[in-house]
Amino acid sequence: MKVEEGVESGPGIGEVLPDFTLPDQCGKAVNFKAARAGKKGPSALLSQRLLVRLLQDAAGRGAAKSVHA
Amino acid sequence: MQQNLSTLEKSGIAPFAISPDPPELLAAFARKYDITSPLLSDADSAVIREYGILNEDVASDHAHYGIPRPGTYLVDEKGRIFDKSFFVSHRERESINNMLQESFQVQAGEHGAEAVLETPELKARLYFSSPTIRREQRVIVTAQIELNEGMHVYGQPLPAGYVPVSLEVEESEDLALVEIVYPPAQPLHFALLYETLPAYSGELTLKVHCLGGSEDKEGDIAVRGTLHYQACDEKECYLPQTLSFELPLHFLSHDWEGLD
Repeated sequence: MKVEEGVESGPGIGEVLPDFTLPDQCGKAVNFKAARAGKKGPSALLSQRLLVRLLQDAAGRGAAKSVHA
Repeated sequence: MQQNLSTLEKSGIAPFAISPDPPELLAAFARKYDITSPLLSDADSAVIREYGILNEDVASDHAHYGIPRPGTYLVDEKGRIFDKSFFVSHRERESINNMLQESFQVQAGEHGAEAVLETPELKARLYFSSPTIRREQRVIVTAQIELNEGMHVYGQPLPAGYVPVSLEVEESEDLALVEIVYPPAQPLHFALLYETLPAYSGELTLKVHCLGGSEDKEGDIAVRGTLHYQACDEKECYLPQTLSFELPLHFLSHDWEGLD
């Protein structure tokens, strides 16, 4: 996998990812380490941009399609 | 997004997504797109800052200040990072198939249709990591080469006059080349030539990392390429060969609903 040159990418390969606790979509506090403890195998942590922005983009494109329809 | 998260889960990888959205928005989002994997709300971007992945290109007074760089950490059961990918822009990203193939050696779902090249010296199977691509998405052309018994092909670096094995993929407005990855060649003594040269024997895999074009489009494209090599066995060094191939790829319009 790739890390683009100059981009902030945080902890490096071989380092332990710092633990954290954040609320999930149900409002339940999720501790990253504890949540992984119940899983066998690796985990993937994906960083996402604001989903609200994606929804706005989607709505905007839908509106644009309507205008041109 | 849910399809990608499901693909990871089916491959035995636990997915977690982190964003600066508040939990109530994540809940609405998860309901709308039927997402069951954890979407974690880092509303004040504290974890994003602690990790050092805050997008510093966004001005502090901008509405989107606090977003992270788009990326993925892959961690083992102890939380140790064994691979990661990060990009400047949210428009560019690894396909889930690429991630699984490159980091886990897992073939998730189907790869693209194969082209098979066969000569007296070798057999090569070539295919895209996925049958589809979206704009600014990364895919890989893999060439799995089996050399016939006793055959060798040259690697790099080579003195003038020899032809190393190489893979070329034609660039177009739909597909740009990012990187070509060759496995390390081993020094091999060629008694016929009185020389020791880098070479491959048995099986080798070449990979061409590609990036979808920036235009949003829908439709089939044909990607052409060539495989070059010069083979030797203990009795003879053969003439250089150039083999042409064509691989199909379906360009998908950006999936705003699926957020792929």
